Amino acid sequence: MDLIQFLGRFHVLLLHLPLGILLMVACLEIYAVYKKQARPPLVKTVWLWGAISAAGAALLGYLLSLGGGYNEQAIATHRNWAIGVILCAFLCWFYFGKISTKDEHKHRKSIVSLSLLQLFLLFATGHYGANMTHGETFLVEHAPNFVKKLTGMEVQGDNPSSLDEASVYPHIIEPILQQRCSSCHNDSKAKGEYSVASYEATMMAVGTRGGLENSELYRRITLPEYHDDFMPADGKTPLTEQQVTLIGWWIENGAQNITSVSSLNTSEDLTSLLIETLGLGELKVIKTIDEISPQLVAELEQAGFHISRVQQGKPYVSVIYADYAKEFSDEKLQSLLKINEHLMWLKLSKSSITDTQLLRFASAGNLLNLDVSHTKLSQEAIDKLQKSNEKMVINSFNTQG
Amino acid sequence: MTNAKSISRREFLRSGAGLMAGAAAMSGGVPMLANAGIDHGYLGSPHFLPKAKRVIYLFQSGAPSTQDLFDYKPLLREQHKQELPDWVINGQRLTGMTADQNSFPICGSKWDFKQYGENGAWFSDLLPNIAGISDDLCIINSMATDAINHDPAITLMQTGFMLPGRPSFGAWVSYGLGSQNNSLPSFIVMTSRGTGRPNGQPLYSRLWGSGFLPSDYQGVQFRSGADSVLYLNNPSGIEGLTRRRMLDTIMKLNQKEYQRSGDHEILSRISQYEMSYRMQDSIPDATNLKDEPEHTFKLYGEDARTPGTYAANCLMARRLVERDVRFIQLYHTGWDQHGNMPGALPKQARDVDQATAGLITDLKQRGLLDDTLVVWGGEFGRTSYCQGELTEKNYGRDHHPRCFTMFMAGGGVKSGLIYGKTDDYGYNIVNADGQPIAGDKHHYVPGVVHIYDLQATIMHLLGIDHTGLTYKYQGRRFRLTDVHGHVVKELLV
Repeated sequence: MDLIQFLGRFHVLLLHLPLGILLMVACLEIYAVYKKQARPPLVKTVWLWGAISAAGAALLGYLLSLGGGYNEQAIATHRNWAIGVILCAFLCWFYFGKISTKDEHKHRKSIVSLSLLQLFLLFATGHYGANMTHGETFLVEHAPNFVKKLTGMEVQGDNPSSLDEASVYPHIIEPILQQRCSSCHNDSKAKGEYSVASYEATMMAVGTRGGLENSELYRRITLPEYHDDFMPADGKTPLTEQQVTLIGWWIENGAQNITSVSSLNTSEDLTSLLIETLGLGELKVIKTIDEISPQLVAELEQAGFHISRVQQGKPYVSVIYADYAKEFSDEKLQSLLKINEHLMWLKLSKSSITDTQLLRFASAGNLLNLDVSHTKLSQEAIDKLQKSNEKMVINSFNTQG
Repeated sequence: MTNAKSISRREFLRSGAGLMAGAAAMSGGVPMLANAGIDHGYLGSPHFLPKAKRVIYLFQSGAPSTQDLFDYKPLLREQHKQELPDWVINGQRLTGMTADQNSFPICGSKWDFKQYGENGAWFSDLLPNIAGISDDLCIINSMATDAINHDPAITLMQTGFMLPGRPSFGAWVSYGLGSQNNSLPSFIVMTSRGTGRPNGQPLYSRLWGSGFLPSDYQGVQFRSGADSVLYLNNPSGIEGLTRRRMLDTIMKLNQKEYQRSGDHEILSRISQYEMSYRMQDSIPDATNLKDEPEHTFKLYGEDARTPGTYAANCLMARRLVERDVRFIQLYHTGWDQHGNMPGALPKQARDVDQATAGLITDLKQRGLLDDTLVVWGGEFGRTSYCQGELTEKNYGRDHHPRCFTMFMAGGGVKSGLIYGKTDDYGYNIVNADGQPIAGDKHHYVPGVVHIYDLQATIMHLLGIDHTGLTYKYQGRRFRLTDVHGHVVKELLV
């Protein structure tokens, strides 16, 4: 247990109190002046609440900063603005509280200017705080190019139109890291002292010795999800299988920066993945297999099949025909073939399967293990099926053949 | 007036915790895409693609004498009757049975050894059939355990802890992966009594208990008599429909009680009643050996005709594997030869030799060995020195936890592999350079297979990361391998 860290993390929760209270009260003050109405009597106390909650949030913020992982400079900026907010809030409470209802019109200018100052301080503090949490470019990352130019951001050239034009780090890898890693690993908040803000910084995490087995980054994104070292941590969205594949491919090819994608070794699958990632068209979309629907599972269970997933996170299943004493009818076969792509292991041992029915399993391209022992199948049919899928292991013990 | 108790604090907390656990399961640890029909057990599905879908664990209770069966040590014969050097024992703990002996005479094996198969594995003359399939076996000569007496050692082997109270191996697997056959239990236990020492160490049903896991997961023991499971048949005069109606009514009453008390054990009881009902059909079908052809009994041995023998249990294990029972555990007692090794060991070896080899051969010819893991072994080894008086005709060996031999076959282990080495006295495990090394649960020692390493490896073959199958109890998460265990990659295909 780390009490300081525990409390410190409540900063991000508590800070919304002064933000809301002070925003509200400052707007109320300005509105009252503008409408020339009497200021509501409660306003004075609200300023105090705002001031106290701001001081509380600041205290927690200080505790949070003790945990490290944030850029010192960024903390200092945020802290200084926050001190401004607190001082201004106390000043308003003290000063406005002295103003009697009769004299209000004399103080209009100071009320409006102090309220505006408070609003400005609030926004500034919030802005520099948010920069630390989400990264400096969070807001305008997806902005149109002219907005990006306005904010002084580096505008990437138009998307590459071919694999030759695409550079491996900026176009393929960096977008993935920006999407999944940069909220915790940026220049102002480098958790674990890792950052993906630039190619050079990223290389610290990738490891310079080269090879997948030496790469800390690759190790952490490929651990099992329950592992303490797994990244992204704390239940944040993990990288997709394709993203992991791309990063693995990039590291294996020397983790280069401005190298043309087409100059690196790629397999056929990877090329189509790259094309898809770069949005170069849908020449070859990698086929994904959907989950079996619960209705279909129920239908198959009804027909006497026991279905279990072979591995976590994969759509493939093992199917056992448990009702083998009952006829293996064409209707049952029909139901089973609805999941022909999902079948990895299939046991039809002791069933009444016929040669014609057997050959229908040629369409089950992912079937690795087929148990048709103790059936009346002929050797010819089994051989024929074997020819259609060489890697399938067929258990034909005690068949006619 | 009723004396119905309100929900106890503990039950209340548990039901609350259940909800929380459900929420936690959705957010991490357990796969997000839970699909009730195809995800079974706590894990839903294995962590990675399993090599073994089923395990047959042939436990040799009492500790078989490694020096007389597997681990050939000619030096013991050469130095027969000489004193075992102190530097070999090196201050290691001895049991109370021999610690007070004035002398520790080396005793060589009474039986001759030969090399078999392409792997040239050594076997004594006592195991001709197992020797005959040596190329199918993955032999580990460097097993090591922490316990020095039977009960803690078996309990450690089967539950991952020396003190009783934790779930057994089969219970963990059944809890983690669920069942593949809805009409048979996923964890079945059979015991047999060795003829070498018929009144030796007893077995306790807690060795296949579920510990703190819900009791659905405990092993179901088949009796060694003619009726494998008692009270399954309807009593005379009661028809199937009557029995069904009775069960339906009991279920309603039980559900009512569950809604009132929230005790999870009531749900276990309901599912156990339902399982028994389905077993009325499945058990007679599974246990009826009459449909086995004559050549089966040639393969397993004539003993297989006698219910309750090790051979009959091996045959039954094959029949259960065919019916997709996930974890089948056999116990054969009587390996505890403190004295009378020459008289008792041949009987004991004869009990298991043909049936073990027969089982592995049978699985292989049926195409089932590829995804069924067979494990054979006891709880520790036996000493190279003699316990009691060493005479011309007689000797005995005491408990020895420092090294012993086990073997596995099928399900993703390297066939023909001979792993690990012991010193010339068969007393300590040695590394490739011949230097003594000792197993240590706290960290992995290459060359040694500690009990926890074996458990982690078997789990791995089943597709389970042994650190990822846990159950929270009394405020912390437990697992089979406690806080230890390392997958021995060298044993894997």
